[in-house]
Amino acid sequence: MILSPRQQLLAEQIRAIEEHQGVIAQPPTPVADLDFSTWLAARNRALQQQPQIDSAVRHAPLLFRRVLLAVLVLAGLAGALTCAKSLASAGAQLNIFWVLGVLLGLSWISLLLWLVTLALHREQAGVVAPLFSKLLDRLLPERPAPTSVQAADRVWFRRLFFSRAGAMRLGWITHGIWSAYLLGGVLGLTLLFTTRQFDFVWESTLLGGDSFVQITHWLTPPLEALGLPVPDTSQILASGLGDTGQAAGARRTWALFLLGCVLVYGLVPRLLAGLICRLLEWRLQRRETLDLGQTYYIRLQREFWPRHTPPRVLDADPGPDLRQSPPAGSGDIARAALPAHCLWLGLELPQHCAPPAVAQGTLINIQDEQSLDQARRLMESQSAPVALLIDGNKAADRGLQRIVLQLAEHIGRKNLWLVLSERPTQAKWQSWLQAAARAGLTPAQVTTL
Amino acid sequence: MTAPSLPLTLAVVGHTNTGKTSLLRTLLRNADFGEVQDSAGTTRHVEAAQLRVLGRPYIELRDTPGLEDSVALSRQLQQVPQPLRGRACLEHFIQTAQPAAAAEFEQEIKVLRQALECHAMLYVIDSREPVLEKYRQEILTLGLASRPILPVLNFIRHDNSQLQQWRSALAELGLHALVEFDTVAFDFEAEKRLYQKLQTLLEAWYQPLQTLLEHRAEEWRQMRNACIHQSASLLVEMATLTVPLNKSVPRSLQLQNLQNRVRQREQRCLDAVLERLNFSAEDVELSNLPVQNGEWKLDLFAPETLKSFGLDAASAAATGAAIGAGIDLVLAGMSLGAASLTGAAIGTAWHTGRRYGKDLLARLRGDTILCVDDTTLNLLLLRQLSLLRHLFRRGHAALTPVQVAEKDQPPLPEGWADQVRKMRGLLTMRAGTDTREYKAVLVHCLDWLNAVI
Repeated sequence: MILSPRQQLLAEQIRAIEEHQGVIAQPPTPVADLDFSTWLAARNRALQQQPQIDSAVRHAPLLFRRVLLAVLVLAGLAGALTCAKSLASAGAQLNIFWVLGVLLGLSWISLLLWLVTLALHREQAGVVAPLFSKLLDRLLPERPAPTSVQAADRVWFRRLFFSRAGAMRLGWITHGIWSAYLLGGVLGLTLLFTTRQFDFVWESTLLGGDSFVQITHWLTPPLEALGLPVPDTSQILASGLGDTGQAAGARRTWALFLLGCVLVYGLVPRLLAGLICRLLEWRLQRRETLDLGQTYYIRLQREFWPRHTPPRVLDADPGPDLRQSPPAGSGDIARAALPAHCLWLGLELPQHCAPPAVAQGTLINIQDEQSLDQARRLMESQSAPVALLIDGNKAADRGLQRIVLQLAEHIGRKNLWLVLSERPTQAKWQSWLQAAARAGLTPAQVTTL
Repeated sequence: MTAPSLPLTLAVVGHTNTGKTSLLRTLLRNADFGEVQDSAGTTRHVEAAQLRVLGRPYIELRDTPGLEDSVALSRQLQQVPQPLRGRACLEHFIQTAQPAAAAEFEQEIKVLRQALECHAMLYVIDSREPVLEKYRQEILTLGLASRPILPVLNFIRHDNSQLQQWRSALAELGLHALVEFDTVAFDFEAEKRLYQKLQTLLEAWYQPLQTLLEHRAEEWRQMRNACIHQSASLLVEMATLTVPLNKSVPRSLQLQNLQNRVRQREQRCLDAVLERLNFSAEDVELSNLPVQNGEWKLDLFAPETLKSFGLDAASAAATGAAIGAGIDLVLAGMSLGAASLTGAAIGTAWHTGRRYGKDLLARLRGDTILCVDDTTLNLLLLRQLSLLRHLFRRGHAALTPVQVAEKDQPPLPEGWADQVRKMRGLLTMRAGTDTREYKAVLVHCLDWLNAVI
């Protein structure tokens, strides 16, 4: 299962908490028929039921919402105050296009700057992102031993704001704040236009009335589409500075034109940009994946979601193996002298084990019952002490021990020597000493080539 | 066809000391399973562990004691009354064995019991051994259980001179499906073949085995990628690590601090890789790697380390130390010119200033920054390659070093210079770890490492 952005965020917050506080005890989450991601999501949901975890993971979003709400209110008030201040200083006559410039100019400049920086550097668009990054590092520094809340907060902010989706989040927040500012402006204007009477004028040293007519006509189509009254050419020309005694209808038309312009050219683009950012954020968030290769998730997987069950004994060992106890006289790997004129035999010798020169060509390698019988017949015919050559890399299993025992019984226990072809490991040396003891041979009858 | 009940039970059988417990350790990726020793009869009980998929047990692997005296055992079985053959013969022997025989063949009886209970057997063979009569007897005896037997040829990496003989002998016994699987020198393809061979032997379990196979393949891919990601992150991070040189603090002290940061970061990477692959510090020591107690034995900045990886020690001497070559900001200055022109044209003075302002200021002040030099980066790369190549080929049963053929390879793989150039590009761009540029370089490095390893 692919975890939703919300589930990923919760998983990362809990990771941050558990990495510092240790794994939180909870009733086991069933694992049957779940993949690790689904199990993880279920575990995290269960963990979130614990009040201290819930409050830790909710702290950052709650804080964020409160701060955002406060900023939006402040932005709205700032918009209303800016509007009131700019209109208050103008007296009874309002320069239409100047007021429009004051209300929309800064918003448009910042919108353009955002678009340009977005095009250049998608991760940290605008001027807010780098400042916000610095602010977060100051407010939520990486601590060696953070509390649950600090750990969860840091992950929440880093994951939501410092990614490609995070840039979009900052985008819609910025546009939201501007929207609040402009909405405050619209409300302020509405309040002032309702309670005070203004004459709307335009003035210019260089431009003539035609230019203002043209500008006004460029701006009016969206307003007309919304059903707002727009000033006609005669009203525009009549509003030039110096033409006194504006009609009540013209005043109302200009006031609605101003309000409409702030709505259509200020608020609507911001809301649209915010909406686009929100959609892009949502889309980019869907592409984000949880890095389950992180050590924390690996440990979690091993501890709670094993890929194999712990081993269990089905058929127990009834008691100690006699072969494990070292025989009397066992010691270090030694090389003893062999009797002269030995009869050389081999015991399951591999090809790479070369017998000594005296035995080459005549050595019987005991590998099965047939070669064992052959060896027995040779022993009977020669009645010489037997040197049994064994691969030193081989451990003495019970089958080999049985053959050694049979040979010892056949030739006499004092006439059999076990000769290991290579220097064996201590464990293998011990196993052959034990095999010799079982066959009634002394440790001195075990040697190396 | 009705769906078979899970888990599929596999008895891991074979002569003593052929690597049965090792096979389980490798398949379970668990070096702590059972006991592995260099002597016969180490495992004296039957121990089981289940492989799970989506939390459900799919395969139960049963580790059995080794068969030690099949010749004597088959003589005992021949004494079972004639009409009883096959499974009935084994059942009769197990139920009616005289106390002496029961004591003598206690281990073998455990194996036979599992042979009767399981769905199939993995018969583990030490392929370095010649084909002996006793092994034929073992297979014939196990065959009486009337369950499919899949021979697993172990230790093929050390000596494969006997392989052909084993293939012929097994074919004579009617075992045509077999798998070469070295429990020490791990190869995931061999593990895949093991499950695929089981699919052909156990048709009813084809689909569960296919599901298991797919999950194991995905797990292995993820595990491998996660390890390579660790190495790639280390390399990119170190290539882009910069520290402004503070004139009021002795340069040697600052170099030392930087070296420590690199050492610590490399150590973190080693820890993470070991954790991911479920290896302990001890396992790495046995891997012929210059690692002791979970730490690199040779210091990254010791001249011998350069030599041990076939690098020219003189190159380190030329820089005075294998780290901390001061970079004056010529490169950044050049970029600054181009960026200013572009910036002026599109009116992004803010952005340009933010990006290069510090460089410009540092240049005017005549400051230098410290960064990890190329020689150190080369060494970091070679140590990572060595580490990953060793660990990816190391089975969890390995008790001795795994040799990885690296001698014939050039010291630095092809394409590394290009990778370094891209990483250094980030340094000049001042691209932070959250940026698209940084992530693109990291992904590029990851892909390149994947291909090289």
